[in-house]
Amino acid sequence: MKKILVIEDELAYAKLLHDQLSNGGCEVITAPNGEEGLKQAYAIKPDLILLDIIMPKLDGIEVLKALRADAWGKEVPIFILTNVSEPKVIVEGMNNSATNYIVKSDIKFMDLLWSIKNTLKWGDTSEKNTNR
Amino acid sequence: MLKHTLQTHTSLKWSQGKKPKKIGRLKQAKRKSKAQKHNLEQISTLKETKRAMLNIMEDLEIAKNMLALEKAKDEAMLASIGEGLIAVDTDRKVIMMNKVAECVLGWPIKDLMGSVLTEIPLVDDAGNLIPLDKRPTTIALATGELTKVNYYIVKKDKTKLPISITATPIKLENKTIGLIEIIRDVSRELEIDRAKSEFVSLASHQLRTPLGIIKWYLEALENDECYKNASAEIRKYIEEISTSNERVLSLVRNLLSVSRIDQGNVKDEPQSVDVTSVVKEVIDQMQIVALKKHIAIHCKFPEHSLPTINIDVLRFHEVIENLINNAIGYTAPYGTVDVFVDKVDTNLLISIKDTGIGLSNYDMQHLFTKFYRGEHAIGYNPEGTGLGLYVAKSYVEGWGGKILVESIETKGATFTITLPILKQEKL
Repeated sequence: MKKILVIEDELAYAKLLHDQLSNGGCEVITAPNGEEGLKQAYAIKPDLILLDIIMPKLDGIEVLKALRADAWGKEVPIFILTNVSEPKVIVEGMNNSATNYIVKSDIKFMDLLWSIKNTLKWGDTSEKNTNR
Repeated sequence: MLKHTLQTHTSLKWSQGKKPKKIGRLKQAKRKSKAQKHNLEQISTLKETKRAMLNIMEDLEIAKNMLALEKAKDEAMLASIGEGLIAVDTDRKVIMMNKVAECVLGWPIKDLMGSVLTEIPLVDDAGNLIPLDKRPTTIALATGELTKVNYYIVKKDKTKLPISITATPIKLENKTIGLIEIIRDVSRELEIDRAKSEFVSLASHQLRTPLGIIKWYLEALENDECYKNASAEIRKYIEEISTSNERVLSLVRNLLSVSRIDQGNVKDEPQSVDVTSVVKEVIDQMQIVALKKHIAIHCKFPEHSLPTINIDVLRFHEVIENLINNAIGYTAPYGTVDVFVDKVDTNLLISIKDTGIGLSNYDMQHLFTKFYRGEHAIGYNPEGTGLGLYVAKSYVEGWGGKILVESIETKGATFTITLPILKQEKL
């Protein structure tokens, strides 16, 4: 079973991601801040990390940098999942080798789900399931 | 004196080769009184002349005092103007400046009087030196037109100060004979602007978090099994909530765009763009919407391909989308939208004409300002944010182009964009 780590401080987002992705057949672990997130990442070594940026204790960009400096962390797919659409930040994220930079309020959940499935090679991605 | 006169008379007669007549005693007396009278007249004239001269000198003295007073008044006015004022001649030499200018510029008056003003370095906010031909002094002298810019002045102590410079040409019989430059310290204004932008950035992020949550939860509801069996009414309600939410999200997105434009944070990514193909692309995208309203989009593109221009393709796409969207949006069903693209002299021209509700003169004057929505527009389409044209104008002007509108109320409107082909301004 694929493991997804959700590093997100906003409870409502964390809950939705947990529920929807679990229903889809994944094991979902959540962490409420960057510090916890990093700990969990090294502990469970997930197949995908969904990473928020604005968080207490350690922000997403710092977590990203730390992970990419690690031998295992270098390879894991990391989706930045944030509401910050500042071009400077997007560039920083991509320069630090984020796999994807997604602005939550700009994307439909189903499209995010498709991206996740595609990256994990999990489930049916033969047809992009977009509810238009 | 009489003797002298007689002698003169005598010698005169001898010189004329005539024998002087003997002058009788009566005649002598007559001559004497005539001469005396003549002298008296001369004296009197001299006295008059002296009096007149004294009067003139008095008048001159008064005039001189008045001039001194006027000069003192002018200097007092100049000193009391709260803004820096510098006058330069056509060689850009400083001929006059006031105390405030000295403070703002950070260069003492004695250093600057008679020096070439443009020797004081001006830089932009990246620290790049502004070249001579881009200086407001040079531009105003060359064009004879009021020139207003915002730059940083490098003071004598090497520190930088943000200033606004307004250079106004002084004209005598239609020729520019010099400039008056008003300079103002704008550091406080900049700070306020920065605080405003930071606030908007923060606010929009804070707003997007709960809005984003609503968006996804609604989506989850719509995808839920139970929802599929829910009554039509429930589904309609959820749809309405979803639509409203998207509207607010859209507004927040626009506010953020506007704030970035205001801040000058728009980093254009210029590339070689074929204007015709982008316009065609947008029209293709908008066909579905147009068809739904039974609105026909007619296009007129040139047969030959047009030169490409260096602009940001995403932004250009956004602008055209905006205009065509408006054209369709404000036109009643069965109306038409005409799109025309061509090259005129050294410009590319794109015009979008609709048969919609049109604009009043008042509308046209305020159309490109932030948040402006015409009265009829609001009634017709309550969902517009009033920001689209402001954003469009900012982009187009940033590319060195112009955006214009013509309209007859209730008959329709035509929006025209011109973009220069040569000499693209880099942002």
